[in-house]
Amino acid sequence: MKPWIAAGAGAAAVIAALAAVQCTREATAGSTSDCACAGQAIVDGPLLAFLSRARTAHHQADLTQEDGDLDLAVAALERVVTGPRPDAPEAIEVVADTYARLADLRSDLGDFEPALRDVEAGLALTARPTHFRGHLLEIKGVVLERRYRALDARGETDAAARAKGEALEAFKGAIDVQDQVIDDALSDGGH
Amino acid sequence: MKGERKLRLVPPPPSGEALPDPGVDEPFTDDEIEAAAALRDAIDHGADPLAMALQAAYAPGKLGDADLDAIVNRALGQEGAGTGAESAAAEQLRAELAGEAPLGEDAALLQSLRVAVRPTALDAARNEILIAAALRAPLRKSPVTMGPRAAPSPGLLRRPVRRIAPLTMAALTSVAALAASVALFFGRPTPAPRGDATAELVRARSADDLFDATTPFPRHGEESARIDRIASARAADLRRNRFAAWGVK
Repeated sequence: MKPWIAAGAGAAAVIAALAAVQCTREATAGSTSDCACAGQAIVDGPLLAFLSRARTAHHQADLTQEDGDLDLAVAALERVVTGPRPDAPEAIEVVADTYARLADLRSDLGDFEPALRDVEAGLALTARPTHFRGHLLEIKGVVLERRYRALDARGETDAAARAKGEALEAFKGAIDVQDQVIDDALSDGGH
Repeated sequence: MKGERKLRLVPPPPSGEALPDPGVDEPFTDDEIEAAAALRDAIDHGADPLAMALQAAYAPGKLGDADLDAIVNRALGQEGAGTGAESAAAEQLRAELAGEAPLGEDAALLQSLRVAVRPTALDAARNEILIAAALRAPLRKSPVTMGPRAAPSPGLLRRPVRRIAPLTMAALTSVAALAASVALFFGRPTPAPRGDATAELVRARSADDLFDATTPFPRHGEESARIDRIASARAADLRRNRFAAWGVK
């Protein structure tokens, strides 16, 4: 074997051995994927970015609602529920709360079916008994009550009676959830 | 010391005689005027990066809704979202690479990389010229390398060089590789164990605990107040997480 080939092979062997040792050391020390929080969402930049956007949209809706432009308020809030969101419980609750506000605004505009779809979308996100879920059920009652009054004003008495019954059912559901949340809180010592 | 200038008081000029105006500069040259005009045009057209940066810092413009959405969407994982400025820059780069516009610095770099990865075919005539030049060069250099005392044939003169060069290169390569390996082994910072730090990170969780559990939300209004409270609380959590990640306690 020529001497330069032997020298090159030797250098390569030394590099390979040292690299293998270093890899072993790194594996022992651990890496990001091995962290204790792997698979669990933490409070991070994307979550804050989403919350900031939602906050901006709600304040924008406040101002346009003050001016009486409910359509513009709806448009501002739709961006919160249609855009991407992180898979974090508080982000999901914010979206559910936004659905509730959208339903309130849409039903105020007379758009009852879209309003009820918003309520159902919000309820699908909040299975656990919380004030967010209770609020959605209460808004469902509000939407149905408005529909009942609209139908009654048009003389559609049967449909109005059905809407009124559904509204009462929704309010009852809201009260049940709110009672459960309050009972849970009081049984925990009020905290 | 002879020849050294010394300060001395001088009498004021007689009344009525005009003093030279220290504020008057020499007249501008044509080049300076031309450069000033070019800079003014660049600033007017937003083509001067420094002026743009200063202007943005002094009087920042409103961020467009589309740009804001793009930034937030990208933060949430949609890598394809781009701002207006980025789209314009991408279009400019495309035009430069397609030969529709003069090559800029970035496009020139990409062009070089493209040629390096997929070299284009060399013109046959140019190839011959390069080969001929390469073959001629060692023959010209050989006598100079070995000195002018002897004048044997060029082939004989190059033999010692052929023998020494591989050995020298092998030795130098080995030393460099060994040094690099040792630096890699000892110098590379090993990540500190993160178990403790990650255990302290604040997890995302329900916002229930931010509100009085015994008081349901009002039927209308206060949505903005609720999101304000959630965002503020999570901003504090994010600060704690960042400090924890940096190892600050």
